[in-house]
Amino acid sequence: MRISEENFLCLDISNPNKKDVLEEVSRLLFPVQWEQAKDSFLKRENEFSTGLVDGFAIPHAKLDFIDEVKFYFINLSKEVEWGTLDDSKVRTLIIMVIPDGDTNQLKILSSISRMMMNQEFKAAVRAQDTNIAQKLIEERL
Amino acid sequence: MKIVGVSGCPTGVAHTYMAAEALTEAGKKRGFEIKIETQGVDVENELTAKEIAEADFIIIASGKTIDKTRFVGKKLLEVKISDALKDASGTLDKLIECTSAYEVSTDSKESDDIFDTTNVNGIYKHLMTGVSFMLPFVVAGGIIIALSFAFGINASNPDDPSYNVIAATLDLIGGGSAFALMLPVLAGGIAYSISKRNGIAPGAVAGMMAVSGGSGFLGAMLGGFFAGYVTNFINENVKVGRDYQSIKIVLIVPLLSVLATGFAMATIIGIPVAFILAKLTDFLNSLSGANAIVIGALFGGMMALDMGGPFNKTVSVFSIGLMSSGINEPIAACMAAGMTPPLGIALSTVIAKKKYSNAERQAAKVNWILGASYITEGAIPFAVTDPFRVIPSLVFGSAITGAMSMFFGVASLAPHGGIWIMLIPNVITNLPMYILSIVVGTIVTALMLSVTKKDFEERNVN
Repeated sequence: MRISEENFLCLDISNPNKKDVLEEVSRLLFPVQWEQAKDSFLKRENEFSTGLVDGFAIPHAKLDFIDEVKFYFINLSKEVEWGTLDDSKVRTLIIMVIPDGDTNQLKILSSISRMMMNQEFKAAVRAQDTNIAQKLIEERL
Repeated sequence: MKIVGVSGCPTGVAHTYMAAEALTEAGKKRGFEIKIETQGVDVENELTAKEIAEADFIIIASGKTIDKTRFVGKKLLEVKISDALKDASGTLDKLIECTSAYEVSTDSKESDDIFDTTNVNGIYKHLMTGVSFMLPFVVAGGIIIALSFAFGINASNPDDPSYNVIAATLDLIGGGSAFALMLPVLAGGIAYSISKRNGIAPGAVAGMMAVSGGSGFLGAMLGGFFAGYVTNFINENVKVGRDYQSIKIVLIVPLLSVLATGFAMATIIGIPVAFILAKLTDFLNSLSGANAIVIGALFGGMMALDMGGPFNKTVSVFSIGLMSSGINEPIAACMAAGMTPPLGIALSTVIAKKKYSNAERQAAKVNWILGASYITEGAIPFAVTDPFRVIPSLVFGSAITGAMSMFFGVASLAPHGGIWIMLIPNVITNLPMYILSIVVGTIVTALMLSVTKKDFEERNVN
């Protein structure tokens, strides 16, 4: 698995509200099917918030119009009330989308999920340091 | 220190892995040996029976119900998945302070499962899963049929003068529905154990065909295994493009697995069992001139051999056939011999407590009622878990009861009903000797079981 500059994004948000942020993220990543993506993310959030600790959240969704697992690390311009485990406000989103009905790529998903517990990796993601993030993922895989 | 555990999240998969990672890291930092099974979309990193046995503590971090039957007797702590993510280290602190062993509580759903599947694998595990699925149907169905008999042995028959609408309804619930579902549920449960949800449909169809095709308990068992393995085979070998994954699951796998299983039940599984059944009927017909004790012992033994399966049914149907010729002794012997297996097991759990698990002893209480009602199937769960010790004991006790009943010349005017028809005057001739036959067979079965069965503790070790 390669990660590159393309995986790292910054998003200038106007409305620091979870629903609006997910809509903006969806429009940015999936310009055509953004509505479907937004609904999938929101549906997932409504089941159980994806907020973690230290200002990280991991919105994720199954989408039937993509072919492979994709992930994006997004720094937000403002802190957002998200519903996290430590009640921190969210600054960084780690977005994962997986093709619907495909369980073959679970391994990648599981590795990325496990990386979320690694402080060094979180620091690299927030600093948008591609090289360190890549190195940590390679060590892991 | 060895710790094993399970993480699981009802939605998504990310939290499952994160909790596993958090606990594993926190454990490693302290030098614990730690392994966490993740129950996300699939079960990964599955714990083995050996790992569970060796573990000092069990941690469960989950947002959904995790089946904890594997962990009976272990020190176990269950936390919310968010607690493990927030403070994995603190969660481990709480865990290692945990002193009480996890027990199956009587009001939880695990208590339905009287079989300890932690130490068994493969075919045995599948069989036990199937039987544990079937058991509620046997218990509820059997008792409801017995309730119907209490209104009169023919009270469920609209053409009979004793017809009673409540009895008929009870018979419809117990006999017409719960008992009719036994074999489909058994076969479906076996197939489910092998190939998860995909196996239920072909397995249940196999069980249904075992009923209609006359291959009984044995046919349903073989059919369940066939259904499970053929479903796995189809699932693994039918490849479709990613866009068609959902069609594979909802259409292709069910269609092919049900077709393959159905044809197998109609041919390679159903026909040999039917053949054996036909041979047996011929054999019994040729034996009818022999003396009463031999026939009684043979009939009694066969009643207990497969408990409601083809042998049992062959003998009882054959005996019912003889009733039309006014010969009412064999059916009395059958009924008595069919009552002793559950009764003998129930008695054995009382006189030899340490040979049985607590759950088995609880389950055996129902056998007093099932045995008294001539519902031999009550013995099946015990026979399946330990066939080479249990079946000979049941057969021996039933053979003695059958031989005694025939020797005393007891006749019965009713083909079914157990103790309930004994309450009706004149249905059973020579009632005192009949009861004596049943009591002796029950005691013989119980003693033989109590001697041959291993202690439950030893069974667990092996």
